[in-house]
Amino acid sequence: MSVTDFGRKWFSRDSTDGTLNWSPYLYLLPALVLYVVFLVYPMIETFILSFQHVRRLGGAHTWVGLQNYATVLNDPLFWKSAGDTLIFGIGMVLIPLVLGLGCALLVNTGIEYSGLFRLVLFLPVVIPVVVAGMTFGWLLGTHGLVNGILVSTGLVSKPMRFLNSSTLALPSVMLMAVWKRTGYYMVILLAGLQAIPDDVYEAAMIMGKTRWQMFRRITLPLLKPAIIVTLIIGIVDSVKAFAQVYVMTEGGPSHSSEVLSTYFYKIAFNYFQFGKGAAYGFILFALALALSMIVIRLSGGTEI
Amino acid sequence: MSVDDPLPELNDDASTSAEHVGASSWRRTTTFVILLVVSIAILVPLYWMVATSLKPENLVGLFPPNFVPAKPTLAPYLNALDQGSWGTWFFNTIVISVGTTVLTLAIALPAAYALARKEFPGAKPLYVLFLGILMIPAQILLIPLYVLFVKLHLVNTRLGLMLAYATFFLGFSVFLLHSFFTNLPQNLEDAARVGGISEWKIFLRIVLPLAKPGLATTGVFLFVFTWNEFLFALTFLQGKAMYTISVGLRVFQGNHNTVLYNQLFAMSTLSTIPVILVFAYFSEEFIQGIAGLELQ
Repeated sequence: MSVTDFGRKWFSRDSTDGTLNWSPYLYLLPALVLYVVFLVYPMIETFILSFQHVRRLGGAHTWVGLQNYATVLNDPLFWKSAGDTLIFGIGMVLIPLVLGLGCALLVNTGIEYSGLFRLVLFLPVVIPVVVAGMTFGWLLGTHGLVNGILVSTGLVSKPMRFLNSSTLALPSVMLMAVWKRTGYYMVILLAGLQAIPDDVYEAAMIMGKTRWQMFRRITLPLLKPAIIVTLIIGIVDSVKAFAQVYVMTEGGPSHSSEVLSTYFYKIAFNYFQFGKGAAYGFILFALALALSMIVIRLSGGTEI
Repeated sequence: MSVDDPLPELNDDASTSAEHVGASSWRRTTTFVILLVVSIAILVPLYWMVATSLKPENLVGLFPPNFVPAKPTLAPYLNALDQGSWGTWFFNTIVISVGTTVLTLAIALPAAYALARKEFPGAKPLYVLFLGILMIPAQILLIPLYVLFVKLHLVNTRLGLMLAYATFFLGFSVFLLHSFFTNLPQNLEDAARVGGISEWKIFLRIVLPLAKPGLATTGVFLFVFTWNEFLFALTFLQGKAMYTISVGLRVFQGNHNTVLYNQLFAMSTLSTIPVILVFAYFSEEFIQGIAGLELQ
Protein backbone atom coordinates (compact mmCIF):
# COMPACT_ATOMS: atom_id res chain seq x y z
CA MET A 1 0.00 0.00 0.00
CA SER A 2 1.30 3.42 -0.89
CA VAL A 3 1.67 6.21 1.62
CA THR A 4 -1.11 8.26 0.03
CA ASP A 5 -3.52 5.29 0.14
CA PHE A 6 -2.71 4.88 3.76
CA GLY A 7 -3.30 8.55 4.46
CA ARG A 8 -6.58 8.64 2.59
CA LYS A 9 -7.87 5.59 4.44
CA TRP A 10 -6.77 6.91 7.74
CA PHE A 11 -7.86 10.51 7.58
CA SER A 12 -10.57 11.03 4.96
CA ARG A 13 -13.07 8.25 5.36
CA ASP A 14 -15.71 9.30 7.88
CA SER A 15 -17.77 7.15 10.16
CA THR A 16 -21.54 6.90 9.75
CA ASP A 17 -22.46 10.19 11.39
CA GLY A 18 -20.02 12.11 9.21
CA THR A 19 -17.40 12.83 11.83
CA LEU A 20 -14.27 10.83 12.55
CA ASN A 21 -14.41 9.00 15.86
CA TRP A 22 -11.04 9.54 17.48
CA SER A 23 -11.39 7.20 20.46
CA PRO A 24 -9.95 4.04 18.80
CA TYR A 25 -6.79 5.99 18.00
CA LEU A 26 -6.43 6.94 21.66
CA TYR A 27 -6.17 3.23 22.55
CA LEU A 28 -3.42 2.91 19.96
CA LEU A 29 -1.66 6.13 20.89
CA PRO A 30 0.87 4.70 23.42
CA ALA A 31 1.89 1.95 20.98
CA LEU A 32 2.25 4.36 18.10
CA VAL A 33 4.24 6.86 20.17
CA LEU A 34 6.59 4.07 21.25
CA TYR A 35 7.08 2.97 17.64
CA VAL A 36 7.61 6.47 16.30
CA VAL A 37 10.11 7.42 19.01
CA PHE A 38 12.02 4.16 19.41
CA LEU A 39 11.66 2.55 15.99
CA VAL A 40 10.69 4.79 13.07
CA TYR A 41 12.71 7.87 14.01
CA PRO A 42 15.92 6.00 14.92
CA MET A 43 15.62 3.84 11.80
CA ILE A 44 15.40 6.93 9.60
CA GLU A 45 18.42 8.36 11.43
CA THR A 46 20.33 5.15 10.85
CA PHE A 47 19.36 5.05 7.21
CA ILE A 48 20.88 8.53 6.88
CA LEU A 49 23.87 7.39 8.93
CA SER A 50 24.47 4.56 6.46
CA PHE A 51 25.42 7.18 3.83
CA GLN A 52 27.79 9.01 6.16
CA HIS A 53 31.19 8.56 7.63
CA VAL A 54 31.32 9.33 11.38
CA ARG A 55 34.30 9.28 13.71
CA ARG A 56 32.16 9.16 16.81
CA LEU A 57 28.41 9.34 17.47
CA GLY A 58 27.07 12.88 17.45
CA GLY A 59 30.41 14.11 16.10
CA ALA A 60 31.30 15.49 12.69
CA HIS A 61 30.15 13.50 9.69
CA THR A 62 30.89 13.51 6.00
CA TRP A 63 28.58 12.31 3.25
CA VAL A 64 30.05 9.33 1.46
CA GLY A 65 27.14 8.19 -0.71
CA LEU A 66 26.99 4.43 -1.15
CA GLN A 67 30.55 3.92 0.04
CA ASN A 68 29.54 2.21 3.33
CA TYR A 69 27.45 -0.31 1.41
CA ALA A 70 30.34 -0.86 -1.01
CA THR A 71 32.77 -1.32 1.90
CA VAL A 72 30.55 -3.99 3.44
CA LEU A 73 29.99 -5.80 0.16
CA ASN A 74 33.72 -5.68 -0.70
CA ASP A 75 34.74 -6.95 2.74
CA PRO A 76 35.94 -10.56 2.33
CA LEU A 77 35.02 -11.22 5.97
CA PHE A 78 31.43 -10.22 5.23
CA TRP A 79 31.25 -12.96 2.58
CA LYS A 80 33.07 -15.39 4.86
CA SER A 81 30.44 -14.66 7.54
CA ALA A 82 27.66 -14.97 4.97
CA GLY A 83 28.99 -18.40 3.98
CA ASP A 84 29.19 -19.49 7.62
CA THR A 85 25.67 -18.16 8.20
CA LEU A 86 24.47 -20.23 5.26
CA ILE A 87 26.07 -23.40 6.67
CA PHE A 88 24.91 -22.54 10.18
CA GLY A 89 21.43 -21.67 8.89
CA ILE A 90 21.05 -24.89 6.93
CA GLY A 91 22.21 -26.90 9.93
CA MET A 92 20.15 -24.90 12.37
CA VAL A 93 16.98 -25.10 10.26
CA LEU A 94 17.03 -28.47 8.51
CA ILE A 95 18.43 -30.68 11.29
CA PRO A 96 15.97 -29.50 13.98
CA LEU A 97 13.19 -29.56 11.39
CA VAL A 98 13.79 -33.23 10.55
CA LEU A 99 14.38 -34.17 14.21
CA GLY A 100 11.40 -32.07 15.31
CA LEU A 101 9.17 -33.72 12.72
CA GLY A 102 10.35 -37.15 13.82
CA CYS A 103 9.69 -36.33 17.48
CA ALA A 104 6.30 -34.79 16.65
CA LEU A 105 5.26 -37.97 14.80
CA LEU A 106 6.40 -40.13 17.73
CA VAL A 107 4.75 -37.94 20.39
CA ASN A 108 1.58 -37.78 18.29
CA THR A 109 1.15 -41.57 18.54
CA GLY A 110 -0.16 -40.93 22.05
CA ILE A 111 2.43 -43.23 23.59
CA GLU A 112 2.64 -43.48 27.41
CA TYR A 113 4.12 -40.31 28.94
CA SER A 114 3.88 -38.48 25.58
CA GLY A 115 2.88 -35.33 27.49
CA LEU A 116 6.01 -35.57 29.62
CA PHE A 117 8.23 -36.22 26.58
CA ARG A 118 6.77 -33.15 24.91
CA LEU A 119 7.62 -31.02 27.96
CA VAL A 120 11.19 -32.34 28.18
CA LEU A 121 11.80 -31.82 24.45
CA PHE A 122 10.47 -28.27 24.66
CA LEU A 123 12.47 -27.41 27.79
CA PRO A 124 15.64 -26.16 25.98
CA VAL A 125 13.55 -23.43 24.30
CA VAL A 126 13.09 -21.60 27.62
CA ILE A 127 16.67 -22.09 28.88
CA PRO A 128 18.58 -18.77 28.71
CA VAL A 129 20.76 -18.81 25.60
CA VAL A 130 23.81 -17.63 27.54
CA VAL A 131 23.42 -20.52 29.98
CA ALA A 132 22.96 -22.99 27.12
CA GLY A 133 26.00 -21.65 25.28
CA MET A 134 28.25 -21.77 28.33
CA THR A 135 27.05 -25.25 29.25
CA PHE A 136 27.77 -26.59 25.77
CA GLY A 137 31.13 -24.83 25.76
CA TRP A 138 31.92 -26.55 29.07
CA LEU A 139 30.61 -29.95 27.87
CA LEU A 140 32.81 -29.74 24.75
CA GLY A 141 35.80 -28.12 26.47
CA THR A 142 39.14 -29.81 27.13
CA HIS A 143 37.99 -30.66 30.68
CA GLY A 144 34.48 -31.47 29.54
CA LEU A 145 32.24 -34.50 29.69
CA VAL A 146 32.47 -35.23 25.96
CA ASN A 147 36.27 -35.31 25.98
CA GLY A 148 36.13 -37.29 29.23
CA ILE A 149 34.11 -39.99 27.49
CA LEU A 150 36.21 -39.88 24.32
CA VAL A 151 39.48 -40.24 26.25
CA SER A 152 38.21 -42.80 28.78
CA THR A 153 36.93 -45.07 26.04
CA GLY A 154 40.18 -44.64 24.14
CA LEU A 155 38.57 -43.12 21.05
CA VAL A 156 41.03 -40.23 21.17
CA SER A 157 44.37 -40.10 22.99
CA LYS A 158 44.16 -36.51 24.19
CA PRO A 159 41.19 -34.11 24.58
CA MET A 160 39.85 -32.58 21.34
CA ARG A 161 39.81 -28.79 21.18
CA PHE A 162 36.33 -28.49 19.66
CA LEU A 163 35.81 -24.76 20.17
CA ASN A 164 39.40 -23.81 19.29
CA SER A 165 39.39 -25.73 16.05
CA SER A 166 38.68 -23.85 12.83
CA THR A 167 36.79 -26.85 11.45
CA LEU A 168 34.90 -27.95 14.59
CA ALA A 169 33.93 -24.59 16.14
CA LEU A 170 30.94 -23.94 13.90
CA PRO A 171 29.56 -27.51 14.12
CA SER A 172 29.90 -27.25 17.93
CA VAL A 173 27.74 -24.13 17.95
CA MET A 174 25.30 -25.85 15.60
CA LEU A 175 25.01 -28.75 18.03
CA MET A 176 23.79 -26.33 20.70
CA ALA A 177 21.41 -24.62 18.26
CA VAL A 178 19.94 -28.00 17.31
CA TRP A 179 19.51 -28.86 21.00
CA LYS A 180 17.76 -25.56 21.64
CA ARG A 181 15.46 -25.56 18.60
CA THR A 182 14.28 -29.13 18.03
CA GLY A 183 11.54 -28.86 20.67
CA TYR A 184 10.38 -25.54 19.24
CA TYR A 185 9.88 -27.05 15.79
CA MET A 186 8.32 -30.16 17.32
CA VAL A 187 5.63 -28.09 19.07
CA ILE A 188 4.70 -26.20 15.88
CA LEU A 189 4.65 -29.39 13.77
CA LEU A 190 2.74 -31.27 16.46
CA ALA A 191 0.01 -28.62 16.35
CA GLY A 192 -0.03 -29.05 12.56
CA LEU A 193 -0.28 -32.84 12.90
CA GLN A 194 -3.12 -32.60 15.41
CA ALA A 195 -5.04 -30.39 12.98
CA ILE A 196 -5.17 -33.22 10.42
CA PRO A 197 -8.55 -34.95 10.81
CA ASP A 198 -8.44 -38.68 11.68
CA ASP A 199 -10.91 -39.66 8.98
CA VAL A 200 -8.37 -38.78 6.27
CA TYR A 201 -6.15 -41.57 7.60
CA GLU A 202 -9.11 -43.92 8.05
CA ALA A 203 -10.05 -43.41 4.40
CA ALA A 204 -6.46 -44.10 3.36
CA MET A 205 -6.44 -47.29 5.42
CA ILE A 206 -9.58 -48.50 3.70
CA MET A 207 -7.74 -47.96 0.43
CA GLY A 208 -4.95 -50.17 1.77
CA LYS A 209 -2.23 -47.52 1.85
CA THR A 210 0.91 -48.27 3.82
CA ARG A 211 2.17 -46.04 6.61
CA TRP A 212 4.92 -44.64 4.40
CA GLN A 213 2.41 -43.86 1.61
CA MET A 214 0.14 -42.13 4.11
CA PHE A 215 3.07 -40.11 5.41
CA ARG A 216 4.13 -39.07 1.90
CA ARG A 217 0.66 -38.46 0.46
CA ILE A 218 -1.28 -37.13 3.46
CA THR A 219 0.89 -36.02 6.38
CA LEU A 220 3.58 -34.16 4.48
CA PRO A 221 1.28 -32.21 2.12
CA LEU A 222 -1.06 -31.25 4.97
CA LEU A 223 1.89 -30.23 7.14
CA LYS A 224 3.27 -28.03 4.38
CA PRO A 225 2.02 -24.73 5.84
CA ALA A 226 3.52 -25.57 9.25
CA ILE A 227 6.82 -26.64 7.66
CA ILE A 228 6.98 -23.40 5.65
CA VAL A 229 6.37 -21.37 8.80
CA THR A 230 9.21 -23.18 10.59
CA LEU A 231 11.47 -22.59 7.56
CA ILE A 232 10.76 -18.86 7.55
CA ILE A 233 11.30 -18.55 11.30
CA GLY A 234 14.48 -20.56 10.97
CA ILE A 235 15.87 -18.44 8.13
CA VAL A 236 15.15 -15.16 9.91
CA ASP A 237 16.54 -16.62 13.14
CA SER A 238 19.74 -17.84 11.51
CA VAL A 239 20.39 -14.41 9.98
CA LYS A 240 19.96 -12.82 13.41
CA ALA A 241 21.49 -15.65 15.49
CA PHE A 242 23.97 -13.90 17.72
CA ALA A 243 24.12 -15.08 21.31
CA GLN A 244 24.69 -18.78 20.52
CA VAL A 245 27.80 -18.02 18.49
CA TYR A 246 29.03 -15.08 20.57
CA VAL A 247 28.84 -16.94 23.88
CA MET A 248 30.47 -20.12 22.62
CA THR A 249 33.20 -18.92 20.23
CA GLU A 250 32.85 -15.13 19.68
CA GLY A 251 33.11 -16.04 16.00
CA GLY A 252 36.57 -17.48 16.43
CA PRO A 253 39.09 -18.92 16.26
CA SER A 254 40.21 -16.26 13.77
CA HIS A 255 36.72 -15.76 12.28
CA SER A 256 36.28 -19.48 11.53
CA SER A 257 32.81 -19.49 13.10
CA GLU A 258 31.98 -15.86 12.28
CA VAL A 259 28.36 -15.38 11.25
CA LEU A 260 26.76 -12.25 9.83
CA SER A 261 25.38 -11.02 13.13
CA THR A 262 28.56 -11.52 15.20
CA TYR A 263 30.62 -9.72 12.56
CA PHE A 264 28.01 -6.97 12.47
CA TYR A 265 28.30 -6.59 16.24
CA LYS A 266 32.08 -6.34 16.05
CA ILE A 267 31.96 -3.65 13.35
CA ALA A 268 29.42 -1.56 15.23
CA PHE A 269 30.33 -2.01 18.88
CA ASN A 270 33.93 -3.21 18.94
CA TYR A 271 35.39 -1.24 16.03
CA PHE A 272 32.80 1.59 16.38
CA GLN A 273 32.35 1.89 12.60
CA PHE A 274 28.78 3.12 12.90
CA GLY A 275 28.35 4.20 9.27
CA LYS A 276 29.51 0.84 7.95
CA GLY A 277 27.51 -0.87 10.70
CA ALA A 278 24.36 1.00 9.72
CA ALA A 279 24.79 -0.07 6.09
CA TYR A 280 25.48 -3.63 7.30
CA GLY A 281 22.27 -3.60 9.36
CA PHE A 282 20.15 -2.68 6.36
CA ILE A 283 21.86 -5.33 4.24
CA LEU A 284 21.01 -7.90 6.96
CA PHE A 285 17.41 -6.70 7.03
CA ALA A 286 17.10 -6.89 3.24
CA LEU A 287 18.63 -10.37 3.30
CA ALA A 288 16.24 -11.72 5.96
CA LEU A 289 13.29 -10.20 4.11
CA ALA A 290 14.40 -11.48 0.69
CA LEU A 291 15.04 -15.02 1.96
CA SER A 292 11.62 -15.14 3.62
CA MET A 293 9.98 -13.89 0.42
CA ILE A 294 11.78 -16.55 -1.62
CA VAL A 295 10.54 -19.29 0.72
CA ILE A 296 6.99 -17.95 0.55
CA ARG A 297 7.18 -17.68 -3.25
CA LEU A 298 8.72 -21.15 -3.68
CA SER A 299 6.01 -22.64 -1.53
CA GLY A 300 3.44 -21.30 -3.97
CA GLY A 301 2.34 -18.42 -1.79
CA THR A 302 0.58 -19.37 1.40
CA GLU A 303 -1.79 -17.26 3.43
CA ILE A 304 1.04 -15.92 5.58
CA MET B 1 -10.89 -46.21 21.38
CA SER B 2 -14.59 -45.45 21.79
CA VAL B 3 -17.12 -48.26 21.55
CA ASP B 4 -19.17 -46.56 18.86
CA ASP B 5 -16.22 -46.11 16.54
CA PRO B 6 -17.69 -46.94 13.14
CA LEU B 7 -14.58 -48.63 11.74
CA PRO B 8 -12.87 -50.33 14.68
CA GLU B 9 -11.27 -53.06 12.57
CA LEU B 10 -9.42 -50.48 10.49
CA ASN B 11 -7.46 -49.12 13.41
CA ASP B 12 -4.18 -51.02 13.61
CA ASP B 13 -4.19 -50.91 17.44
CA ALA B 14 -7.41 -52.91 17.45
CA SER B 15 -6.06 -55.52 15.08
CA THR B 16 -6.92 -59.00 16.30
CA SER B 17 -4.35 -61.17 14.58
CA ALA B 18 -1.48 -62.18 16.83
CA GLU B 19 1.06 -61.03 14.27
CA HIS B 20 -0.38 -57.52 14.27
CA VAL B 21 -0.54 -57.32 18.03
CA GLY B 22 3.15 -58.22 18.08
CA ALA B 23 4.01 -55.62 15.45
CA SER B 24 2.01 -52.95 17.23
CA SER B 25 3.56 -53.53 20.65
CA TRP B 26 7.04 -53.69 19.08
CA ARG B 27 6.28 -50.36 17.45
CA ARG B 28 5.11 -48.84 20.74
CA THR B 29 8.24 -50.04 22.52
CA THR B 30 10.48 -48.59 19.81
CA THR B 31 8.64 -45.27 19.92
CA PHE B 32 8.99 -45.15 23.68
CA VAL B 33 12.69 -46.04 23.64
CA ILE B 34 13.52 -43.46 20.95
CA LEU B 35 11.68 -40.71 22.86
CA LEU B 36 13.40 -41.78 26.07
CA VAL B 37 16.85 -41.62 24.46
CA VAL B 38 16.11 -38.19 22.91
CA SER B 39 14.83 -36.92 26.27
CA ILE B 40 17.97 -38.10 28.06
CA ALA B 41 20.13 -36.44 25.40
CA ILE B 42 18.18 -33.21 25.95
CA LEU B 43 18.61 -33.42 29.73
CA VAL B 44 22.34 -34.30 29.85
CA PRO B 45 23.59 -30.70 29.33
CA LEU B 46 21.26 -29.44 32.05
CA TYR B 47 22.37 -32.24 34.35
CA TRP B 48 25.99 -31.36 33.64
CA MET B 49 25.35 -27.72 34.52
CA VAL B 50 23.86 -28.69 37.90
CA ALA B 51 26.50 -31.38 38.55
CA THR B 52 29.32 -28.88 37.92
CA SER B 53 27.68 -26.36 40.23
CA LEU B 54 27.83 -28.86 43.11
CA LYS B 55 31.52 -29.71 42.78
CA PRO B 56 34.14 -28.29 45.16
CA GLU B 57 36.93 -26.21 43.59
CA ASN B 58 39.53 -29.00 43.61
CA LEU B 59 37.27 -31.35 41.60
CA VAL B 60 35.94 -28.96 38.92
CA GLY B 61 39.01 -29.16 36.70
CA LEU B 62 39.41 -32.93 37.18
CA PHE B 63 39.91 -34.86 33.96
CA PRO B 64 38.29 -37.15 33.07
CA PRO B 65 35.45 -35.56 35.08
CA ASN B 66 33.27 -37.38 37.62
CA PHE B 67 29.87 -37.90 36.06
CA VAL B 68 28.30 -37.82 39.52
CA PRO B 69 29.87 -35.18 41.81
CA ALA B 70 32.04 -37.06 44.33
CA LYS B 71 31.54 -34.64 47.23
CA PRO B 72 28.49 -32.53 46.35
CA THR B 73 28.47 -29.15 48.10
CA LEU B 74 26.47 -25.94 48.01
CA ALA B 75 29.63 -23.92 48.71
CA PRO B 76 29.91 -22.64 45.08
CA TYR B 77 26.45 -21.04 45.42
CA LEU B 78 27.28 -19.40 48.76
CA ASN B 79 30.77 -18.28 47.70
CA ALA B 80 29.51 -16.77 44.44
CA LEU B 81 26.69 -14.86 46.15
CA ASP B 82 29.07 -13.80 48.90
CA GLN B 83 31.94 -12.56 46.74
CA GLY B 84 30.43 -11.46 43.44
CA SER B 85 27.92 -8.84 42.30
CA TRP B 86 25.41 -11.60 41.56
CA GLY B 87 22.84 -10.19 43.98
CA THR B 88 22.83 -6.86 42.11
CA TRP B 89 22.64 -8.64 38.76
CA PHE B 90 19.72 -10.80 39.86
CA PHE B 91 18.00 -7.70 41.23
CA ASN B 92 18.52 -5.86 37.90
CA THR B 93 17.21 -8.83 35.94
CA ILE B 94 14.08 -9.08 38.09
CA VAL B 95 13.40 -5.32 37.88
CA ILE B 96 13.96 -5.25 34.12
CA SER B 97 11.94 -8.43 33.42
CA VAL B 98 8.97 -7.39 35.57
CA GLY B 99 9.18 -3.77 34.37
CA THR B 100 9.31 -4.79 30.71
CA THR B 101 6.40 -7.19 31.16
CA VAL B 102 4.18 -4.58 32.84
CA LEU B 103 5.17 -1.76 30.46
CA THR B 104 4.68 -3.85 27.32
CA LEU B 105 1.32 -5.24 28.47
CA ALA B 106 0.09 -1.75 29.41
CA ILE B 107 0.88 -0.49 25.91
CA ALA B 108 -0.14 -3.62 23.99
CA LEU B 109 -3.49 -4.30 25.68
CA PRO B 110 -5.37 -1.14 24.61
CA ALA B 111 -3.83 -1.38 21.14
CA ALA B 112 -4.86 -5.02 20.70
CA TYR B 113 -8.32 -4.27 22.10
CA ALA B 114 -8.94 -1.42 19.67
CA LEU B 115 -7.63 -3.42 16.70
CA ALA B 116 -9.79 -6.42 17.56
CA ARG B 117 -13.00 -4.69 18.66
CA LYS B 118 -13.31 -1.28 17.03
CA GLU B 119 -14.01 -0.54 13.41
CA PHE B 120 -12.13 2.49 12.27
CA PRO B 121 -10.27 3.67 9.18
CA GLY B 122 -6.71 2.38 9.19
CA ALA B 123 -7.34 -0.60 11.51
CA LYS B 124 -6.21 -3.15 8.95
CA PRO B 125 -2.98 -1.42 7.82
CA LEU B 126 -2.10 -0.75 11.45
CA TYR B 127 -2.52 -4.44 12.28
CA VAL B 128 -0.33 -5.37 9.32
CA LEU B 129 2.22 -2.84 10.56
CA PHE B 130 2.37 -4.53 13.97
CA LEU B 131 2.82 -7.89 12.24
CA GLY B 132 5.50 -6.56 9.90
CA ILE B 133 7.56 -5.33 12.83
CA LEU B 134 7.68 -8.94 14.06
CA MET B 135 9.87 -9.74 11.06
CA ILE B 136 12.54 -7.13 11.83
CA PRO B 137 15.79 -8.68 13.10
CA ALA B 138 16.87 -7.24 16.46
CA GLN B 139 20.24 -6.18 15.02
CA ILE B 140 18.73 -3.53 12.81
CA LEU B 141 17.45 -1.77 15.91
CA LEU B 142 20.78 -1.85 17.73
CA ILE B 143 22.55 1.09 16.13
CA PRO B 144 19.40 3.26 15.81
CA LEU B 145 18.51 2.73 19.46
CA TYR B 146 22.08 3.21 20.56
CA VAL B 147 22.27 6.54 18.70
CA LEU B 148 18.97 7.62 20.23
CA PHE B 149 19.88 6.44 23.73
CA VAL B 150 23.13 8.39 23.65
CA LYS B 151 21.07 11.52 22.89
CA LEU B 152 18.47 10.79 25.57
CA HIS B 153 21.03 9.63 28.17
CA LEU B 154 19.36 6.23 28.29
CA VAL B 155 22.51 4.17 27.69
CA ASN B 156 23.36 2.08 30.75
CA THR B 157 19.96 2.61 32.39
CA ARG B 158 17.32 0.04 33.27
CA LEU B 159 14.62 2.30 31.84
CA GLY B 160 16.39 2.47 28.48
CA LEU B 161 16.65 -1.29 28.25
CA MET B 162 12.98 -1.70 29.23
CA LEU B 163 11.91 0.75 26.51
CA ALA B 164 14.06 -1.10 23.96
CA TYR B 165 12.47 -4.42 24.97
CA ALA B 166 8.97 -2.93 24.96
CA THR B 167 9.54 -1.67 21.41
CA PHE B 168 10.92 -4.98 20.25
CA PHE B 169 8.29 -7.20 21.94
CA LEU B 170 5.28 -4.95 21.28
CA GLY B 171 4.34 -6.42 17.89
CA PHE B 172 4.41 -9.93 19.28
CA SER B 173 2.33 -8.94 22.34
CA VAL B 174 -0.29 -7.08 20.28
CA PHE B 175 -0.54 -10.09 17.99
CA LEU B 176 -1.04 -12.56 20.87
CA LEU B 177 -3.59 -10.35 22.68
CA HIS B 178 -5.40 -9.61 19.40
CA SER B 179 -5.97 -13.32 18.78
CA PHE B 180 -7.15 -13.64 22.39
CA PHE B 181 -9.76 -10.89 21.92
CA THR B 182 -11.00 -12.34 18.61
CA ASN B 183 -11.80 -15.57 20.48
CA LEU B 184 -13.46 -13.78 23.43
CA PRO B 185 -17.25 -13.23 23.23
CA GLN B 186 -18.30 -9.61 23.14
CA ASN B 187 -21.67 -9.95 24.98
CA LEU B 188 -20.67 -8.31 28.23
CA GLU B 189 -19.18 -5.26 26.54
CA ASP B 190 -22.26 -4.88 24.33
CA ALA B 191 -24.59 -5.19 27.32
CA ALA B 192 -22.64 -2.49 29.14
CA ARG B 193 -22.78 -0.28 26.07
CA VAL B 194 -26.57 -0.71 25.91
CA GLY B 195 -26.64 0.20 29.60
CA GLY B 196 -25.00 3.51 28.70
CA ILE B 197 -21.68 2.93 30.42
CA SER B 198 -18.86 5.03 28.98
CA GLU B 199 -16.23 3.40 26.75
CA TRP B 200 -13.37 4.04 29.19
CA LYS B 201 -15.28 2.47 32.06
CA ILE B 202 -16.09 -0.54 29.87
CA PHE B 203 -12.39 -0.92 29.10
CA LEU B 204 -11.26 -0.62 32.73
CA ARG B 205 -14.12 -2.42 34.51
CA ILE B 206 -15.10 -5.12 31.99
CA VAL B 207 -12.43 -5.67 29.36
CA LEU B 208 -9.47 -5.59 31.72
CA PRO B 209 -10.79 -8.32 34.07
CA LEU B 210 -11.90 -10.45 31.11
CA ALA B 211 -8.48 -10.11 29.49
CA LYS B 212 -6.65 -11.61 32.50
CA PRO B 213 -5.97 -15.03 30.89
CA GLY B 214 -4.65 -13.38 27.73
CA LEU B 215 -2.52 -11.02 29.77
CA ALA B 216 -1.15 -13.94 31.79
CA THR B 217 -0.09 -15.89 28.69
CA THR B 218 1.47 -12.86 27.01
CA GLY B 219 3.10 -11.82 30.28
CA VAL B 220 4.71 -15.23 30.71
CA PHE B 221 6.28 -14.96 27.27
CA LEU B 222 7.47 -11.42 27.91
CA PHE B 223 8.97 -12.34 31.27
CA VAL B 224 10.90 -15.33 29.89
CA PHE B 225 12.04 -13.50 26.73
CA THR B 226 13.32 -10.57 28.78
CA TRP B 227 14.91 -12.74 31.44
CA ASN B 228 16.86 -14.66 28.76
CA GLU B 229 17.71 -11.75 26.43
CA PHE B 230 21.39 -11.14 25.78
CA LEU B 231 22.10 -8.93 22.74
CA PHE B 232 20.29 -5.75 23.85
CA ALA B 233 21.52 -6.12 27.44
CA LEU B 234 25.10 -6.58 26.26
CA THR B 235 24.87 -3.50 24.03
CA PHE B 236 23.01 -1.05 26.26
CA LEU B 237 24.32 -1.95 29.72
CA GLN B 238 27.95 -1.00 30.12
CA GLY B 239 28.53 -0.50 33.83
CA LYS B 240 29.00 -3.52 36.07
CA ALA B 241 26.33 -2.25 38.47
CA MET B 242 23.70 -2.34 35.70
CA TYR B 243 24.33 -5.83 34.27
CA THR B 244 21.59 -8.38 33.97
CA ILE B 245 22.36 -11.96 34.89
CA SER B 246 23.02 -12.98 31.25
CA VAL B 247 25.64 -10.26 30.78
CA GLY B 248 27.07 -10.95 34.25
CA LEU B 249 27.50 -14.65 33.50
CA ARG B 250 29.26 -13.86 30.25
CA VAL B 251 31.63 -11.35 31.87
CA PHE B 252 32.36 -13.70 34.78
CA GLN B 253 33.17 -16.48 32.31
CA GLY B 254 35.56 -14.19 30.47
CA ASN B 255 37.37 -13.18 33.67
CA HIS B 256 37.83 -16.54 35.38
CA ASN B 257 39.51 -19.83 34.64
CA THR B 258 38.08 -23.31 34.87
CA VAL B 259 38.57 -23.53 38.65
CA LEU B 260 35.71 -21.13 39.35
CA TYR B 261 33.40 -22.78 36.83
CA ASN B 262 31.55 -24.37 39.75
CA GLN B 263 30.48 -20.83 40.73
CA LEU B 264 29.71 -19.94 37.11
CA PHE B 265 27.39 -22.92 36.78
CA ALA B 266 25.94 -22.40 40.25
CA MET B 267 24.80 -18.96 39.11
CA SER B 268 23.71 -20.38 35.73
CA THR B 269 21.55 -22.89 37.58
CA LEU B 270 20.14 -20.18 39.83
CA SER B 271 19.31 -17.97 36.83
CA THR B 272 17.60 -20.89 35.06
CA ILE B 273 15.37 -21.86 38.01
CA PRO B 274 12.90 -18.93 37.60
CA VAL B 275 12.27 -19.64 33.91
CA ILE B 276 11.88 -23.36 34.60
CA LEU B 277 9.39 -22.62 37.39
CA VAL B 278 7.42 -20.26 35.15
CA PHE B 279 7.51 -22.84 32.36
CA ALA B 280 6.47 -25.68 34.69
CA TYR B 281 3.48 -23.66 35.88
CA PHE B 282 2.43 -22.24 32.50
CA SER B 283 3.73 -24.95 30.15
CA GLU B 284 0.39 -25.45 28.37
CA GLU B 285 -0.12 -21.72 27.76
CA PHE B 286 3.46 -21.55 26.57
CA ILE B 287 3.30 -24.41 24.10
CA GLN B 288 -0.20 -23.53 22.83
CA GLY B 289 0.91 -19.91 22.49
CA ILE B 290 3.95 -20.78 20.38
CA ALA B 291 2.13 -23.30 18.22
CA GLY B 292 -0.86 -21.00 17.72
CA LEU B 293 1.29 -17.94 17.12
CA GLU B 294 3.33 -19.48 14.35
CA LEU B 295 0.43 -21.16 12.61
CA GLN B 296 -1.80 -18.09 12.40
